[in-house]
Amino acid sequence: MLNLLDSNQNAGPTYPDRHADLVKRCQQGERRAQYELYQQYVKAMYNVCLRILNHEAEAEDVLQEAFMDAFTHIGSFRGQSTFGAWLKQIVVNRAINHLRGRRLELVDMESHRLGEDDGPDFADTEPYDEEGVQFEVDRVRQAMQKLPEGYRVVLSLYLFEGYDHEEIGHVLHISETTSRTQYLRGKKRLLELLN
Amino acid sequence: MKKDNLERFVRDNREAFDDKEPSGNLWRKIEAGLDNSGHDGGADGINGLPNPIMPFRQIHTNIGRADRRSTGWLGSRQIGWPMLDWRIAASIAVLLLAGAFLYMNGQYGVTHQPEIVASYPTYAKEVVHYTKLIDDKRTELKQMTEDNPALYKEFATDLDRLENSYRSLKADLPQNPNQEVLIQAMIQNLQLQINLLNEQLRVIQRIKQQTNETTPV
Repeated sequence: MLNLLDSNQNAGPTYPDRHADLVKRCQQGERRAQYELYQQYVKAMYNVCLRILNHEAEAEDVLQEAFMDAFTHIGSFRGQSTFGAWLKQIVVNRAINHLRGRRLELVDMESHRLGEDDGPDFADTEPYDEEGVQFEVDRVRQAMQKLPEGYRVVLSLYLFEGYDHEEIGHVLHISETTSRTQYLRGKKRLLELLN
Repeated sequence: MKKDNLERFVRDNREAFDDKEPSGNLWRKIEAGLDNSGHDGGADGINGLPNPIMPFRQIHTNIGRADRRSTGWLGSRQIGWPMLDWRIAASIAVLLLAGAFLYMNGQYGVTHQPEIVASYPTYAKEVVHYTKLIDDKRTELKQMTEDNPALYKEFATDLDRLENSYRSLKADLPQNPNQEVLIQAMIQNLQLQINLLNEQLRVIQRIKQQTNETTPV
């Protein structure tokens, strides 16, 4: 999975060896190196969190935990992937765990839960005609925020974090097919919102 | 033709989507958190030495902090009591297991007769009970016949005969198709041994009484 992520890693400035030295210094517990790595990745990772959680304060909480987690366990980072990919994996997992925890309190009535799906529905997943849809960064972002949680998470992992459906299935504990249909439905809903 | 517009749009504008920034004090919180976990671990980062890595404790302290900060936190990582040291938990578990094993061993004789315990735990208990009785009575017998080794030898040959048949029964056990009957035979054998021992002890007692009576006061 790390290797898969490595190939389609696109968050933040990550080139295989670019931060090898910083990582090494972090492994020796050097605070300044930690700060430099933090500076490099904090913005990209914050946006990853924000897209998944759709809540600024919670995104910051999760991000704080993720960075602390990463720095305390950096000794176990062996460089099979870029540091960015490794860090993003921690961030994504933490964010999704946080969503799971949140759902214990707020059962969302629309029941578009993570991994919940009533089976493939072909009429529903028919691709939406994308012609004539005007894309703007802000409008896309706002439309994403209006999506039900399940769609939002699958879409942000697939569209923004470059996960494939197999990887999404892994993180969310759902099947690859479910991820695929959830994605198509979510995308359709998103395009409707944009029109 | 324009099927993947959305995907392409996101890919081309990926940087523009990443424009939100976290608050400025986030690093201070992280730093404080790292320092805290450093103090927990003993030697910390002050002198620039690496922290001894204690992943489990680290996670627990993190959870504790998260609980205090945001009440809405109910992460699925929260396994047990937040502040319980995993080493204490592990040692308690080991002690409990060892205690349970010793108790079971005393009751069922797991190490002495694993084949019986495995197939007939209720009989195993009986067997252990009887063999313990036999051992006790045998030592008693030995003590009482200290002054009469010839008598002890006689008694012992009778007992050994029974014990030998017990051993051969036990040896047959693994191949025997009707194990329950065999085990019952073994238990019967043990009961015979006990009866015999009781008989022998009574004989010795009577002999002692007689010698006491005959010796002039």
